[in-house]
Amino acid sequence: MSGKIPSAVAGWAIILVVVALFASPVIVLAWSLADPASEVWAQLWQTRLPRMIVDTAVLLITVVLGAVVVGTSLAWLVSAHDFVGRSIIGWLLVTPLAIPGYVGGFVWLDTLSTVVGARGVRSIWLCAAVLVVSLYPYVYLFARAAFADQGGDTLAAARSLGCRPLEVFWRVAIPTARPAIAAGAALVAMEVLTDIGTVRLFNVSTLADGVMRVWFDSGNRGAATELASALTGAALVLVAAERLLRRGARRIRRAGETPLVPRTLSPFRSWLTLIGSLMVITVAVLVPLVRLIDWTLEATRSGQAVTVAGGIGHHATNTLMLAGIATVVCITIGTMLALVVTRRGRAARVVGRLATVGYAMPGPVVAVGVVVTLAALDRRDWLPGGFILVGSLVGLVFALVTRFFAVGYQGVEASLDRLAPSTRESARILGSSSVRTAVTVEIPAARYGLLAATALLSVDMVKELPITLLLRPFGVDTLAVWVWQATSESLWAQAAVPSLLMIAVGMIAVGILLTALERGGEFTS
Amino acid sequence: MNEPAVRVTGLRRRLGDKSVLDGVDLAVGAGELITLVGPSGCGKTTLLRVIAGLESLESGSVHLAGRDVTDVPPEKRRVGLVFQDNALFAHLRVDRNIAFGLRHLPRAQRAERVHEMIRLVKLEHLARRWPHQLSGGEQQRVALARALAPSPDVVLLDEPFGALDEVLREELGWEVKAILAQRNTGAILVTHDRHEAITLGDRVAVMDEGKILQCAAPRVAYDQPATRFVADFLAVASYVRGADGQMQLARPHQLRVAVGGQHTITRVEFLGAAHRYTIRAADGSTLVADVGPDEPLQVGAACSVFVIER
Repeated sequence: MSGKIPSAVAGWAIILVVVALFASPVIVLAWSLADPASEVWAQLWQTRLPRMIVDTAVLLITVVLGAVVVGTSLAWLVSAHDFVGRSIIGWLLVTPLAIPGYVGGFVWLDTLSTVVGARGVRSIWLCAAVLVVSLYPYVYLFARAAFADQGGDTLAAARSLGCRPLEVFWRVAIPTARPAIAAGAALVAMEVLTDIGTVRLFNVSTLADGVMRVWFDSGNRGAATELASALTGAALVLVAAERLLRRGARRIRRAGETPLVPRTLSPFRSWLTLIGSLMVITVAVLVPLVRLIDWTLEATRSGQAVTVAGGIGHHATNTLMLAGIATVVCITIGTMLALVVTRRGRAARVVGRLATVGYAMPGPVVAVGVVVTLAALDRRDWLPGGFILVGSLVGLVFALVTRFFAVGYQGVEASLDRLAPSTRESARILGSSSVRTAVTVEIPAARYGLLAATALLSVDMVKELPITLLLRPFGVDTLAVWVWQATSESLWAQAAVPSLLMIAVGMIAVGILLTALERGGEFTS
Repeated sequence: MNEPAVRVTGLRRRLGDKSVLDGVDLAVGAGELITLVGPSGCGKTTLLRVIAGLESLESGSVHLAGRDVTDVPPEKRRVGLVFQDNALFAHLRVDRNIAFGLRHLPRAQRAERVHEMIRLVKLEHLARRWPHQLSGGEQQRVALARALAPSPDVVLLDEPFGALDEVLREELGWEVKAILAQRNTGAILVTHDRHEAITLGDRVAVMDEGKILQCAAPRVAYDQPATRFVADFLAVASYVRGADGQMQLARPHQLRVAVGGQHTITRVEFLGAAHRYTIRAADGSTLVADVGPDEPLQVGAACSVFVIER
């Protein structure tokens, strides 16, 4: 062993470096919270802060409740019932994931303003409705996995003990799936706290919107930082709530689990279910698609030139490049950390979790945290050639990876956990080195988890807005930024082409995601 | 109340072009325990699910305690179910699991019934535990208590001991039999373990390819199997030509082995109280004989075989 670094030391070194890297922006921000600028707070409190808090709370509660109700009931309908077109509907119900809230938002804003008038349409309730329709798939996916996991026997037992089908849902399916539903709801909540595009469209002033406005409009970075830390507070409350709801997550190890057998519905109910699900899909996907295509065709007919600088090719290339780099970095570091952590046991797992803290932080918070951190580094002038991190591609990718690291890491970790330790041990006993075992045994075993994480990450990266807006290098504009700029001037038709491109990328990613989940046995259609 | 707990007649169910149930008739008397055995895929689980109302039928009828329940949904059938994977509600403590099917009772009566059930399965000290904190055997006892709590007309047990180790399985089997007898509840117990089937059942039903081939007292099924399949399935069987020239069933204890002859010993197993010989007969068939624990013959030894009456 002499002359070689013991693997435990190397392992811990990797863990600590990764954690230090991705936890630092949040720690730096928390530092600024410890030293609040009281005059900034006083001013914020007198002006916008009360409304921001109220709007954020109202929107958060409405959207989370809505998404839980819609996502859970749709999941139950599809998991436990057999109706016309069930397996296709099961897939289609996930597709709203590919449509960013702010795209659905401006389509419905324009569509509804002809009905309720341009003023009435900008309401917090419509904003909430748009967000529910675009975010419920998170709950839906989690709930479907949980329902499938319950198996048929538990539900059959409940029936025999006197429960009607709907009572089975209330008394058994929901309580058992509660931890999963809570996890899905937490994702939805985080998306609401992060959203800046949709709320801006509907004139809802949330805390996230406040951070962006203060940053860009008044250029007051101190106040933006303070607001971001308030937003962090909201996120922490959320994380605590999720932990609480997840408590009592219990699983009984079952021997011969029978799969859930869907109940055949009567023809009338079967069609009713089909129509109901199609309505959700119409509102969430079909209407936005039709209107966007319509706008695009109209613009082409009338010869309207694209007025956004750089042209569509430039934006599309930037988006793909940025999303690609960030996703690859995320997956690579995530896989590495997961491999090390699964070897090093419980303590490593707890420490490793710290690297995912960015995912519990809204996008604007991470953006501000990264800027503050990188600016501090820039001031020290450590980097050769006077390289400045703030406003560089490196800075932007770092921020994106910090925010979404959890998606790459936890997906892989969960897949690796399913690999029986004896498999890894067999490989080692057969003479395979640690690295070779990782490459030839562990990574192939986790391939569907990796694929699912990659797909999910690409959707997230492509539609990401606050971090890109705050940190993009000069001249690097993405499709999301284009949509943001066009919609903030109500140029809907201008936003149509980039929106369609984003949706196309998103749909491909959702397809890959579902295939990966199905192959990995986490989703059945 | 001389109505049988369960009476099914002419049950038919197809899955694609395969008959899962092919004209099944069966009656379970009040307080009777019927064990149902057969190879996997023979339709035994489907039969339970049909009786519980969890699966539909093409034809046939199901009567529970004299009531025609063929078109009654599972929640109104008064059937208790116990599964191999115990199917306990993970979100409820032991006592709440047992109380699950008692919502129709007033609170005081409900508490009393839960108490009674917990005592019945001897889990007084575990009433406030969560299911995942229990051992496999304890979980299965909770499942039984939960199924019995609403006083069902019949309890259906689908390989209830399949996930337990052998010692526990046997012990729990006797305990369940005693509890069912104490409550005078009719029951069908599905198993793939023939030993369990003949030791626990008041009657044993052997199923294959969607049909019940024989349903009789274990001793009758063992000694006078209705078909060769039943004979082979319930216990080790040899066939020897009798004095009348007919092939005759012989269980291992009915064969005596003598040194020298036309047969060859191919395997010797030590069973503790006996030795079991596997013998290749002169006509190429295989015979199995149990002999005393004394020093056995060697593999390859020539021998002859005689049949004795029981």
